[in-house]
Amino acid sequence: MDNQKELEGLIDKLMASDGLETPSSDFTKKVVNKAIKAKNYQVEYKPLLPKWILYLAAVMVISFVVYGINLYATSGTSATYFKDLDKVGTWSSNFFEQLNFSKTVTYAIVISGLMTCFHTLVLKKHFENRMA
Amino acid sequence: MEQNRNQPNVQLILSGDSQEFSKLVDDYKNLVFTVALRMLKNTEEAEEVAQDTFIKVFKSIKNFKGDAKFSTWIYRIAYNNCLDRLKKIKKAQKMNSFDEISSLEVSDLNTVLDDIEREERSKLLKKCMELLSPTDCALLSFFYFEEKNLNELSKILNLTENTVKVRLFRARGRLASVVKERLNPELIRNYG
Repeated sequence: MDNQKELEGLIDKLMASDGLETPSSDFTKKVVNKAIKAKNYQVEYKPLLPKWILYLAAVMVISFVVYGINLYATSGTSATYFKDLDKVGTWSSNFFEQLNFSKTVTYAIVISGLMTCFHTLVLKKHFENRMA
Repeated sequence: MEQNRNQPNVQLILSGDSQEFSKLVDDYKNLVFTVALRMLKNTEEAEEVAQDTFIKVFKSIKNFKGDAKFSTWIYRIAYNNCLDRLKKIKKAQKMNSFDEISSLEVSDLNTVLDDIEREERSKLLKKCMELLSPTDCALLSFFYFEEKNLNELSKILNLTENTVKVRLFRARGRLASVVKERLNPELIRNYG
């Protein structure tokens, strides 16, 4: 116990002779600038898709509609236009019907999904705790 | 040695008051930088990690619940940030083995240190700290420069109070052992 007290006294004396280190003189300025940048970045709205893709998609949809209307106007019936559309629907339903999974694969997929969700929750809590 | 500082106005910082945030940075930057420097043992890395710590504080200040002291919360972020950086740069935590120091040697060292000028003692301490592990350095710096409170220290380091107490005792022993190794043995003998 005496040794412990003496050791404490020694380190107290040693540490008392030292002061805090100081970072560079413009440290605060740099941090504040970075923080302002980070804040602006958070607020800045950035659409998921660039504008040109949205315009292209709009043009394609409009042309599709115009094509349909034209077809309807010339033939007097919408039959061929909608028949073509039906083909796409039939193909996709046939495709999914052909897919067959064994029970084991189905259970594995479900369990993997559940584990991913669980993992996400645990990680979220972990990082929140680190920051709190 | 604990610094006097006011509790920052979180609402003002959240509303984007850069003056209030500057005050917060000024209040805590020295200890955050000191701990980073002692743990990482490199000025540039330490400055970068200290800056990064304050950016994290700024981004997550809205999550500060107030159930711990504000300083404890900041130091915990700083400590974790340093550990992350150490992992990133794959700097292994130094675990040098040190000889145990006897009661007589502690007493001799005490006498020698009394006769060494303060400035020399400070230089000696800095050199010795470089040989200690990052966690020992963090523990000693937080204890002596700020809290001197095992409860707050246990929150910063995410350890139990008893573990902190034991680790602090061991860190003191290791530091004393390094000091003994660095001081000229003859000098110690003359004083002893």
